[in-house]
Amino acid sequence: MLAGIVGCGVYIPRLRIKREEYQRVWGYSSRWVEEKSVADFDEDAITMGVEAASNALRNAKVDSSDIDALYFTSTSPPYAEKQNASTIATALGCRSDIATVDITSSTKSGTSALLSCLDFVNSGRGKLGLVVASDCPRSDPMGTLEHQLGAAAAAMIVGTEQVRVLVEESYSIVSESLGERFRRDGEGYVTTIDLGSYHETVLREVITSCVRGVMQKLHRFSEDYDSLVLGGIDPGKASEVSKKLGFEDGKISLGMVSTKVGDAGAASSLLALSKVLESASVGQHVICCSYGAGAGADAISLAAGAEVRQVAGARYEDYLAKKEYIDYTTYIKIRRILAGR
Amino acid sequence: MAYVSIPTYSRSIPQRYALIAAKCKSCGAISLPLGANCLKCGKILEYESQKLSGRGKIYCFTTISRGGSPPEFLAQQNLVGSYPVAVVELDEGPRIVAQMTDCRAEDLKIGLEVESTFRRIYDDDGMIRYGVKFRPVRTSREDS
Repeated sequence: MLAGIVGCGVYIPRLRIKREEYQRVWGYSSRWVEEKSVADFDEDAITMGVEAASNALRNAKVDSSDIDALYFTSTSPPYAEKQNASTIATALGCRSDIATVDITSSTKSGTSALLSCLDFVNSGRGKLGLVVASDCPRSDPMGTLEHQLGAAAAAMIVGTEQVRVLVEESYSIVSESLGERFRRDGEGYVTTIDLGSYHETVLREVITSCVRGVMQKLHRFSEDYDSLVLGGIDPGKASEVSKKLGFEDGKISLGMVSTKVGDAGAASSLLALSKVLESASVGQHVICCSYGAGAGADAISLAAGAEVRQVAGARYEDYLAKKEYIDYTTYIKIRRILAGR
Repeated sequence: MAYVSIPTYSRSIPQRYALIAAKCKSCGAISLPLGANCLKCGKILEYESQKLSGRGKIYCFTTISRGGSPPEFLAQQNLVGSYPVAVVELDEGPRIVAQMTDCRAEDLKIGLEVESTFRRIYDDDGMIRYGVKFRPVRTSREDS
């Protein structure tokens, strides 16, 4: 039997900052972020990843000592060099004879990690894999990107037994493009050269050919799918792209997390997919497509199995409801933008 | 606490990251942190490792106010202000000192049920020292 998703878990930090705070301080705000989650002073991509992974293990009823591979992905790993996955593996109590991988530098890479982990299990190298996507990217407070950047994590257990969500097919696209979103080596802030329609055209072409690609491989059409998850894309562009693909807004609204969480970078796609799977019914089909500037995309076609509801326990909505609002001054202090590392 | 060298810190990483404790082969009591002797029967500790649940209750607590923090927590205090610290009595028996997080000092009381969470503790030697903090429980016992 082919590898699929055995369980998933999410984590959203409890701190939030509202759009009104950005309006108050800067006089402007992101068009689509109503509020966003904020990693606390003692949180980072590793600690949030550990929380999401613990939830995934609990939901899947899998012991951490049975995990054979850990794929960690983030655009904001605490260490640019020194393996980050080893901290997560140790904190979870994983065995020492496991394969560990860090995947960085693209907001697309949640799906890259998931597909790599599926390959690991399908190749027979191991039985159970753990994918951890966690991100809290930072940007210049004067820049246009900063307001939208949130913080969240999602984790998935991949295996061949007790598969709750089947992975049917995948399709990937790569296309070289410049300036949309990048961070040079040694820099802490992600940045953008706003080129409006140029970037919108690249994004639209990459995503539409990716989603169409996976549907064509399965001889399916948009009508055959119940949900389309577009990770790493703002709601306005997501709505436009999905219409072009023949998906009405109702099919993408469930997978839209960024208005309340912000842009969760490499965690976006798996966070949104987890949310969709929490309320999916048996037999439903979902496409999860993630996009990363530069540019690349992966689209994965999934089918909900008999026990799909058991896939997620500590739920997205629970995390969304437990929150505490902070002001902008607290925000730039705890995010180490005002001072400190 | 003062400076803890990286080799010393590393030796206790399983305890610090994942609450891996020692179960005494003589009396069965759980020791954390690990010392030379069992915390209960006092015999030289021969043990098997046991991962603790991370669940427990606040035994007592305090607030570390400005000027009161050890040097490794100065950056935290400068940026965040006062922070709560508790002695937590774990379900398996041991009492350990740890910071409380995801809560306000006024939310704390003796006997409050808490659960462990993996966090950044402080920075030293350019490295992040990770470890366990506690927060009021957010998942029910049945789920865990």
